[in-house]
Amino acid sequence: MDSSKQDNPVTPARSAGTALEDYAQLLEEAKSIQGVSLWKDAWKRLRRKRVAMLSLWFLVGLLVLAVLTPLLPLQSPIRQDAQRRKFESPNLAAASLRGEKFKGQLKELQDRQATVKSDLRDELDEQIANLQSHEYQVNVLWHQPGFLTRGLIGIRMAIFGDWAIPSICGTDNLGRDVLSRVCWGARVSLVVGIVATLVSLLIGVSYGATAGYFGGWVDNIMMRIVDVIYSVPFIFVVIFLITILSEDSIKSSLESYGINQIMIFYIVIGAIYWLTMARVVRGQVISLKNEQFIEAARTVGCSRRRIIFRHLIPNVMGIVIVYLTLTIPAVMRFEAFLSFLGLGVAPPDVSWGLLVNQGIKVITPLKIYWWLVLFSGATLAVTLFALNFLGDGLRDALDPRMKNR
Amino acid sequence: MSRFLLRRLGWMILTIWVVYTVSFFLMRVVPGGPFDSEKNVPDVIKRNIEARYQMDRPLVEQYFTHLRNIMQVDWYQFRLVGFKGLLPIPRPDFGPSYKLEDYTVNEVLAQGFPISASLGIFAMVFAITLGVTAGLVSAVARDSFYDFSFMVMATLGIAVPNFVLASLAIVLLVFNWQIFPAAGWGELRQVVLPALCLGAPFAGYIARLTRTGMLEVLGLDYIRTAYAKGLSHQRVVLRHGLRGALLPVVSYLGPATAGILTGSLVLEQIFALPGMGSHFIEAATQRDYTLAMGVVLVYTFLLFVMNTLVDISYGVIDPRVEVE
Repeated sequence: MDSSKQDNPVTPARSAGTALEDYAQLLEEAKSIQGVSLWKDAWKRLRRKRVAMLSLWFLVGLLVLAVLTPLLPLQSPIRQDAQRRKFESPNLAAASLRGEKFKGQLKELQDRQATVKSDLRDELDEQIANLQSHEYQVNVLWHQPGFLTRGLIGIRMAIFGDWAIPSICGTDNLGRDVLSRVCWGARVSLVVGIVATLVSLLIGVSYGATAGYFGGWVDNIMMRIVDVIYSVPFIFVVIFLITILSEDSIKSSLESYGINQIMIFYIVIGAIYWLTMARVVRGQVISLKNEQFIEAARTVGCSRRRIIFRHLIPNVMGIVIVYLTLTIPAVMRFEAFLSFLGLGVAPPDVSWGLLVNQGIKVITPLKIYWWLVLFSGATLAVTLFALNFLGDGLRDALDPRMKNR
Repeated sequence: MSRFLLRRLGWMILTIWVVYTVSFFLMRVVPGGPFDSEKNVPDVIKRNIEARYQMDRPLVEQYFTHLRNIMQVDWYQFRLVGFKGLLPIPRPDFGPSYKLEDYTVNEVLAQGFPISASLGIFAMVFAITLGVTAGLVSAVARDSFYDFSFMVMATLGIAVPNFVLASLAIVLLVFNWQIFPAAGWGELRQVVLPALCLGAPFAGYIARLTRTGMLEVLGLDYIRTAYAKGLSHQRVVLRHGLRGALLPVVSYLGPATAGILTGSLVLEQIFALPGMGSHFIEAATQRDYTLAMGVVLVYTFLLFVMNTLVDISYGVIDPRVEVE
């Protein structure tokens, strides 16, 4: 890396003392020189790309927003109120978390309590207390929140109480707030994108690395298998697979192993997107295996493990990361695609694809509820847009051939 | 060349066999047959129905019967300059549909195929013409306003999923301004909008590929030679430059075909076109396994044929590439 280290000014004619001093001075100098690692270099190049950086910040913001969604004063994403709040266009009218329907229920119970005899009163009291209890509200207003989400919702209720952001994106055919659904859908869409991509990363890297490392007939067979799978219109097989796996009896037997629909989804999507990754990693490993610096490392006496982890993997990482950023949008688009067809995320869970689908279903020539399609569709499109730009930027930044151009 | 084709044929048969086997066993793994949902059918009648469809036989026997039906071949006699031969024409029989009354899978496919095919071809033609033109203009007028706006449009086309594009197009062009009819099939006017939405992402991708390829080619020596010979700018760009720049585009056509096949699933659904894609979705959700498998096999076949054509045309465009 540092060529300056090689021209050693110390000559054998000098005395041992000055040589030592020279060495110390050299060491000092070497310490002050900061090596530019591949990553720093790439980061520097990436920072120069304004669009890529903008995309990066947008995605970071989106991720933070998605993680903190339970904390935001949003309306309930699943509470329906088809009678009062159906198809409200975007408005700024004051809204509350529990909504009119809840107030109606409460009022009805209180009215009844005022009129009935005393022996029934206790029962109604209990019902009212139940209706107002924290647990009950959390379970009705949100769909099966996890442990962490429950905690965040608790904080949100403590801070904002019943207050919620008005329906600035309108409401859907069942009176649910679109803004809140888009935010909650972001969580599902992003998680599917990231987890399924990681699954594909795991399969692809290990498969490709194995094939590339062993070479010979192992490589040959493994890559022919990839070729065969490549020429299958895989999405059809996936749809086939998903319908079969969501068959009731199979679903329940899978659920007994703790595998639910969304996990099947991750695995199935991840299982089809590893092909390109495997090919790329294999190519890289094959070309790196015979590089001089690997040979040099071997000559110096590095262990095999050190060679793999210290020299091979960091060199493959660049291209893997580029493919990751390009796979995530592909996976998210595929998730949206399947949810759109009604084969993906099942209600009451929401994802962006599902939202677009629900929006399109209620469009008729007579009345256009544009806000149902626009907000979810635009968020999805902008996110994919940003991911694509970031992927392109990263490719330029990490591709050594593009260096200094 | 003929060796190449033969080898491709071998791979195709292998692939189709793998797909067939996987999907056959997948659908038989599902407990409960297609007739279980029929209400109030006495057991005897159900058994009769199942016997009619040979579902009472052992699984392995069913597998081979079905396979034989699918692998049926008609031998077509031909005579070519005194050379007599037999040409095998595949005539698969996918059996009856499990859910559509009175239809065999073959009939459903025969109805759906022309619709899907014309939709796909329109989309492909649109993607290629628009993509190549935009890419060419962008490369020649590099860093101009056209370049910038075309590339922004291309990136938009790639990023926006086609069903979002289609739904926005329906809201605007069909309901709001009523330029296009909403759904239906038969007229040219009805094909245009679905084909545009289907082709848009591929047009964007092709535009970017053409631009990059063109920029690379225009800097090469032989282009300078062509200018030095005194050829016109137009001739150099269109005849010498474009040919070299199109190579990446041609190799992209294989994946593009796969993408268009997939995309047509969703667009047929949105625009209510009775093509193979919408049949497939219906079959998959209704568990009409024979139909679903038939569609998958047909799509596999199509994809293989398209990929082979792409590989052959690659050699035609670039004489340096030998088809192998």
